[in-house]
Amino acid sequence: MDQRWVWILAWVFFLAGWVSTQENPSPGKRMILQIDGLSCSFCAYGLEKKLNKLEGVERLEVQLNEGKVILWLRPQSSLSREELVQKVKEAGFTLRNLKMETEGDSVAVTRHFRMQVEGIRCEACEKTMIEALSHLGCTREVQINRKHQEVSLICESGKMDAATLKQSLENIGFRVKAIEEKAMPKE
Amino acid sequence: MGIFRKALWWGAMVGMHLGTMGWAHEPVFGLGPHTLYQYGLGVEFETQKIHDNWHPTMEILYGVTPNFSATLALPFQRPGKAFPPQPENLVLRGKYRFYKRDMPGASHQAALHGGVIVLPSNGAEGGNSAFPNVFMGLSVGRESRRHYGFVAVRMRWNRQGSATTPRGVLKLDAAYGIRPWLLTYRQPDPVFLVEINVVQRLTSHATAGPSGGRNRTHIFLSPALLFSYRNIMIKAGWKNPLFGGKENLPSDPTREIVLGVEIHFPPFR
Repeated sequence: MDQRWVWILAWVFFLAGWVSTQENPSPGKRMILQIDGLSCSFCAYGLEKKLNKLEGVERLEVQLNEGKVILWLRPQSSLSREELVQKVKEAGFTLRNLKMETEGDSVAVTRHFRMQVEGIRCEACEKTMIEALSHLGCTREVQINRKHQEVSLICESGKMDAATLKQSLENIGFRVKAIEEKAMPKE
Repeated sequence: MGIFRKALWWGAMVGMHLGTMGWAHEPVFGLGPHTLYQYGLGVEFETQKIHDNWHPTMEILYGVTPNFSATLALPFQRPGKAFPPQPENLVLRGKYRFYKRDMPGASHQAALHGGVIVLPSNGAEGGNSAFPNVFMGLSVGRESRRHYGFVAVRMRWNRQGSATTPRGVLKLDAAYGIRPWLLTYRQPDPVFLVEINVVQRLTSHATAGPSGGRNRTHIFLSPALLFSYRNIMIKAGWKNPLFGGKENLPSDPTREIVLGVEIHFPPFR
């Protein structure tokens, strides 16, 4: 009798494991949407539902703190940028940019940004800046030099561009005088 | 007693229909510019305690476009039993967000609000020829992952004032909210708010009653909590008189408590 229960439990665990494996699709295309205006989960619910209804979307993940939505697409999916822009707009947000990736691909390079920024006057300013940068997924090795009004950080390639970075800092009251961007090999 | 009842009724009416217009992360007693997503449907159940009476309401929200939402509000009951038991009134509201600027993790928004308070012509209270009444408002807000800030102004016009009914009510609201923990999408999300609400009841000398025949200003300080998990939000607020409203006149607004739950459903299309 005891042995039978062990077998039953083993099958239950096996099936549970199998089901959870099925939830993760085999390596395929994925799309990373950078969405502006994402500030709370309650507001993002409509966005999740709208994107989930799109044909070709297998599953998605909302990353609130990074302002991103990752869509895992079915192999035959033919989602257009226009469709995505429309759905994001209907949900009340703005699609800043999107990037197609094939899962399993490693990103070949990372980017190093160095900026001359006006307006870093206090510790609170630094904290505000770090928080804003964290929304972009660019928190890696952020260094702020208040004395020289310089900021440097590292981002993964494709996740950030100089214009986006400049815009995000200017949105919170800083003035970006210059940006230097350098590709560097990924560690 | 009749006057007191009327005052309670009007206090409840003004409070319910001008005071609580919930949409997502917005002030509990004030207004906010957020609109529901297009084709989205929301339901809100709310109960408000004024003068020891609870006034439950149900609201149905619909996102007509990404920037225009409509609401139908139905009170469940009136204070006292002098009125017919069927839903005696309903409120139709609209909100048009005319400005929105999105940025990473934040947005600036502004919206116009308008609505009509509809009552039947055969109510037992009398004076129903004065309906429907209307209100309009403007709200401006900034939302971010960490902080919220809102400012709003609104005005209600009653077509006919009386001893207990103001000709109009002007409200100014300011609110600040903070999300202490930046959690992930599938985690519960508490936001704490503090609101300052200024209410001015415009009363003419011709219709002066126990309220003294002058415009009366009341200021409230209102802490509130918005607690959401995915598409469900629980809200609670406590509105305390800071200035005015302590004379114990029946027509004075008093301490109020709001408890509510708002649920958003997936879009129809």
